[in-house]
Amino acid sequence: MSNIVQRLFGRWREEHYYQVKEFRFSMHLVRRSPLTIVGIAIIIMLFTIAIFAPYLAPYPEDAAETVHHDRILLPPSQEHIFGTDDLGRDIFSRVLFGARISLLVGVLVIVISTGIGIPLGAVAGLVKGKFDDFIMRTTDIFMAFPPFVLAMVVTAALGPSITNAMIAIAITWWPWYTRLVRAQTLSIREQPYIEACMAMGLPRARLILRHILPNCLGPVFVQATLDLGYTILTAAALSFLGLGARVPTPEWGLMISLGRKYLPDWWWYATFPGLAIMITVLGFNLLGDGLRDILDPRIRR
Amino acid sequence: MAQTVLEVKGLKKWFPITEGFLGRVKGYVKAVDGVDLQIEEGETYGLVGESGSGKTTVGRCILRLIEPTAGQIIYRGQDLAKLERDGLGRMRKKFGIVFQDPYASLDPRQTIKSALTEPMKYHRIVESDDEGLDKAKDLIKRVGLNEDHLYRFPHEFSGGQRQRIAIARSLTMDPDMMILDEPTSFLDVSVQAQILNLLSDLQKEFNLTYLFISHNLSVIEHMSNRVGVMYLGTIVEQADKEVIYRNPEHPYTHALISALPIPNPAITPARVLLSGDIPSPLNIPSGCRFRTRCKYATEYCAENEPSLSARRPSHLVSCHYKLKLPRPIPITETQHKT
Amino acid sequence: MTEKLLAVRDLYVNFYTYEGVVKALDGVNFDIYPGEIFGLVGETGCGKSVTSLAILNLVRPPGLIVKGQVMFKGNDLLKKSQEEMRRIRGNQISMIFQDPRTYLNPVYTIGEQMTDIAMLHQNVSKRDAIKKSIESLALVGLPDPERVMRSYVHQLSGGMCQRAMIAMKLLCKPELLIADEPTTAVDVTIQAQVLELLRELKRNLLGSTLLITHDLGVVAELCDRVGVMYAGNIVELADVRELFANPSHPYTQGLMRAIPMVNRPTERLETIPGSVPDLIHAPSGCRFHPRCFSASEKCKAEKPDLIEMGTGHTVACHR
Repeated sequence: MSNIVQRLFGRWREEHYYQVKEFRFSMHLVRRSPLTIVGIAIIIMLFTIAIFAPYLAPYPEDAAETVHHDRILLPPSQEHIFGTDDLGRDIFSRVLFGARISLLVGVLVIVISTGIGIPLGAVAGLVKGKFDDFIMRTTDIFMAFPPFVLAMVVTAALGPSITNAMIAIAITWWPWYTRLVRAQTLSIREQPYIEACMAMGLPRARLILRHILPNCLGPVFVQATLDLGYTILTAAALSFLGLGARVPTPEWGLMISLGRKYLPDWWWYATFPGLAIMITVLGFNLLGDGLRDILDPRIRR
Repeated sequence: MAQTVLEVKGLKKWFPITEGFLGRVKGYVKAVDGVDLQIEEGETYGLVGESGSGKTTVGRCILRLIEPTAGQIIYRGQDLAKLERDGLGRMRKKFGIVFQDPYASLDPRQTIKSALTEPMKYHRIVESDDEGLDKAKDLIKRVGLNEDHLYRFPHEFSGGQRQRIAIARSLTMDPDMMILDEPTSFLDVSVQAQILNLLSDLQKEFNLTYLFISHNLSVIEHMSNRVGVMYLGTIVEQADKEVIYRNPEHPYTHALISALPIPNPAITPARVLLSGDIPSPLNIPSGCRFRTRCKYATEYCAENEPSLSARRPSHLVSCHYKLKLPRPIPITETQHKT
Repeated sequence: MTEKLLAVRDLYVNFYTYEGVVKALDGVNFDIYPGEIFGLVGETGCGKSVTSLAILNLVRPPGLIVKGQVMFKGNDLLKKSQEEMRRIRGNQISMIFQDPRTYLNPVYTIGEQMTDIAMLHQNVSKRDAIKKSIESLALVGLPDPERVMRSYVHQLSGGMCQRAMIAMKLLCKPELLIADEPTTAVDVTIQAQVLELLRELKRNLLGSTLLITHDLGVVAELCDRVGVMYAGNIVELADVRELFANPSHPYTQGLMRAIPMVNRPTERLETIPGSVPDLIHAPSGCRFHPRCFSASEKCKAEKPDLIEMGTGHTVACHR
């Protein structure tokens, strides 16, 4: 029995010999860059917190609409690691739940932006001509606005809510992916191996899906990782301005906004959510940078 | 009488230069400006020229990887220039193509096995995956690599090995004719020798016809039966190999061959140095294109463009004058010891 | 006995990579005399470019010059500080590269780049620098040097760029010019012009040239003495005529047989079996022995030294 398993495994190893080697090399590179490891650690921690928030939070009920008049604005202590807010809610628990919201927002925004941006960019790069011009001018228009201002306008128009904030951010973000993918596509389609496939008579559709797109995705990946951090930041900023999440959602930006008036005496209210945002963005930045370093020069060994 | 496999008539490729955002056409880069050639079955036709001569563009136009502006491309009686997309797809499998840059001609994300079996599956040359795998194994061994190389990715291989893979890939479709675009330019000398030998062997084994495009005169001389010399988009001379290298009649051919560095220090080259640089294909000189660098040019040359005419049955020259030029490569009795 | 201009002794260079230590240069020895053109021939990966970098002490991490001396006019260049080397580079030892268009700065005119160099190394006024530059450009055969001075790189053709680059490097009348594959990226007719130029310059300037190339034809035409490199070693060293008349190392012989030559029609080219070795796990003893048709046990065990075979003709082989 184990013989068969061994043989199967051996065969898998042989067929994927090269991928295994590459993976090992990537791990080596990661090990050599302590900052990337820090980034990865932060992200893992973040996702763990987001998934297991209800179990990790000491006072999970505080994440919703509750009031504890007896515990208002207590400083950090053993029972309340981050202290309590003006409604007596445990800030630590709220920060943990906030991770869920932020990550969800970030991921959804990226998914929507790439979902729009990648196909548009690929088509623009491949078809060129008038369609390409049209898409490029559209992206120009969107990119002419400072992203934040645009997001503000959209949420102001649609009304403040987390969902609307997500839509707003996605609207400002997709042009970057379009441009990125278009640039990649333009350079890849000139490569001899694409010509070779055309010379062998392979149809266009297959060419795009199996040859061009997979080769584009490297920089997109890096960009998406970095963007996760920035979208979270933008969402928090929108909520801070009152254009995003509404009370009593434990969104970090919102918490800072509410806690502002209690600075500097009851500093813990605004500070800990702020720290959470900072660490999150830092984590994604480090990871994104690390990814970029791993994905690019190593191919040029 | 050998059959003509490929006949090219009046091939032109002009790239328009647009200006402004309404796309006004300012001028044309006349990369290929009227090329005629015929290739017989089983032979190797060497197309030689420097940069800007248009030789690479000719190769690509034949396969319609670039759409020709004008001209006919007749493959065994059928004009490829007129085919629709489906017909073209089917015709394409008769041609194998090998490119110059071994490092970019294979998809870096595809295993070799996949690269070889993909065209077979698409063109339905094989019925099942297993059959495709068998054929791939066969071909990879035929070009000198091992079966387990099939599971690797391109960047695990050296330049020479990648060219072998590219050759194997073009053989998967049982082609009739191969277009070899500078297949050894980026390779070292010893690797080049291996690849050239492989190509010769394959040609005999599979009865292939080759269009060999290169700027390397020694390689062309070694591989070709007939040679066509291109300058600025047209063929200026075409003849059997021995004739071109010993008794060229066009001054450009003469200068080109005399410019070859000879690996024998005992021989002093009788070099013809051309003045100036190659004119840009944007501004092709009036009359004969070569007159700006030609020692023998006259006023007549500036006003009238010569056409490719047959001086002897298989020797075509595009020049107004019948020039008697000295042998471009001097020979001495002492060949060096090998 | 003329004084040697450059003497490279026992040069060992390693590159430290993830996969292991690449022993790029494994004990390189050769001399260059004043007024000669010395050719360094080899295929990709043999170490010829690394050698030129080592001479200029430009080997950067992950590369390291592990051992050896580069004696230039009696002084060891490897022992000099970067500051001292900077004064030598461009001034007494100059280097021209393969592709002139990428090695010239596209945002400055040729004139600006040349006067920069002249003023930097020779401490002359701007007016004198301009005069010298024009002289240099005329020397390389460029018609209308004043116009070239005012041009940018993209306005010149490939051949003109190559000449301009040569003119730039010759400004300070270097005693040693290192030419790294100067004819590889250009067309045949331009290549002929460049070769002719280099030959004339040799006649007029009395400086020496280290010509690095993989083209044996170029070597035959231009060089006085030649060193053949394989996998980090010099395997044969001789006068050019001697080398072509009596190639003694099996690699040299194989190389010459593998080139298609117009005067020597053959059905098939003779090849050297196998391929260039991985320098991390280089073959023991003589690095060529796995591909050599006359290898013996001794070849596997011991690395051969350069043995004198005739006047000035040394070969690194046990036979």
